[in-house]
Amino acid sequence: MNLTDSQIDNVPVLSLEGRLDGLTSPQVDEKLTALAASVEKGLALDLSKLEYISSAGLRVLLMAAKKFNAAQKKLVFGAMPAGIKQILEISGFTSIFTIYPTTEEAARSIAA
Amino acid sequence: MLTIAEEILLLVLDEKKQSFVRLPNMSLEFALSGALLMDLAFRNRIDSDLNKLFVLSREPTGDALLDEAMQLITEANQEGDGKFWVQKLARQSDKFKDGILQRLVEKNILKVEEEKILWIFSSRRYPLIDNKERTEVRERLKQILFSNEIPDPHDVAIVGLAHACSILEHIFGVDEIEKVRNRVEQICKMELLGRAVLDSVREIRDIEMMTLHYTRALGR
Repeated sequence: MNLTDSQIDNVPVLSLEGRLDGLTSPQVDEKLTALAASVEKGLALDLSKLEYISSAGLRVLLMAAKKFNAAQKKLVFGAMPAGIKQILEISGFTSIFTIYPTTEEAARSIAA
Repeated sequence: MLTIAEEILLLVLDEKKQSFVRLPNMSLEFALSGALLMDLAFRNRIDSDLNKLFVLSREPTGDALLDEAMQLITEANQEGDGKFWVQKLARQSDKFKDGILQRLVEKNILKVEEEKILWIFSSRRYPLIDNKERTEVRERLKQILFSNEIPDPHDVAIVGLAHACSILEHIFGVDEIEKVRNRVEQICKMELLGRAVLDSVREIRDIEMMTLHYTRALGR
C-alpha cells in the first residue's frame, strides 16, 4: 500500500494506492490517526488507485470516520473506483461517508 | 476488556433466571462462532471479503480459545466464505461456550452452579457476581442504537451478533427496537462476519419454516 500526501487548494489529500486489507490496514490506521489530529479542517482521501478493500480495510475507514468526527473535522472520499464503491454500498458505509466523484471536488468541499 | 465472545455470552444471560435466554435455534451457536472469528479478525489473524475468509498470520494470540479456533481453520485446509466458517466452527460451539463461561468465572464475573431437579436431572445456573461488565456492554449498545453516533468496529460486531440471535428485543423491548429498526439494519450491514452469522441463522429459520410447512401439508 502506497500512501501519498498532497494538497488541493491548501486542503490535505491522502492518496491510497494498492490493497487495503488486514496486512496494510495497520499502516493506514496509523497514518489516518495522525492526520485526524494534525489537519486543520479535514482530509480528502483520493481512492482512485485503491484496488481492493477487505473487512479489515472497512474497519480502518470506519475508525477514521469516527476519529475525524470526534475531532469535529471532515473526512471525505473522492474518485472511488466502482468496485470499491459497490462494496461500501453493500456494507452500508455510503450512508456514513461523504463520497465525491473526484478528489478535487472532495477537497473543495472541505475548503468551502 | 472482554472479548466479543465473552460480551455476547453475557448479553444472553438472564440475570433473574440465572440462565441463558431462550433463543432461536442455533443462533447462539452461530453467534459464538462468529464472535470468535471477529476476535481473531480484530487481532489481525484472519481477514475476509464478500467471497472468502483468509488467514493473515498463524502466530498464537495467547488466548487459548482463539488459538483453538484458529487451529481449526488452519488445519481444515479448506476455502470458504464467512458463512462457511461460522457454520464450521459452530459444530464445536458447546466446547467454545464452556470455555467462554470458564473465562467469565475466572474473571469473577459469574459463577456456575449445578443443581438437581427432582433429584435426577442436572441443571446449571449462572449467577452474576459482578454486573459491571454486563451493564457496560448494554450501555454501549444503547448509546450506539439510540443515537446517530458513528459506531466503532467492536460495537458494530456486538450489534450484529446480538441482532442475529434476537437478543436486542429481550434487552431493550420489542417496541423500542422497532423504533430503531433501520439503525440496527444499517449497523448490521457494516460487518461482513456479522452478516455471515445472520445469514446462517436465517438459513436455519427458513429450513424450519419449510419443514413446518411440509409437515402441515402432509397432515392434511
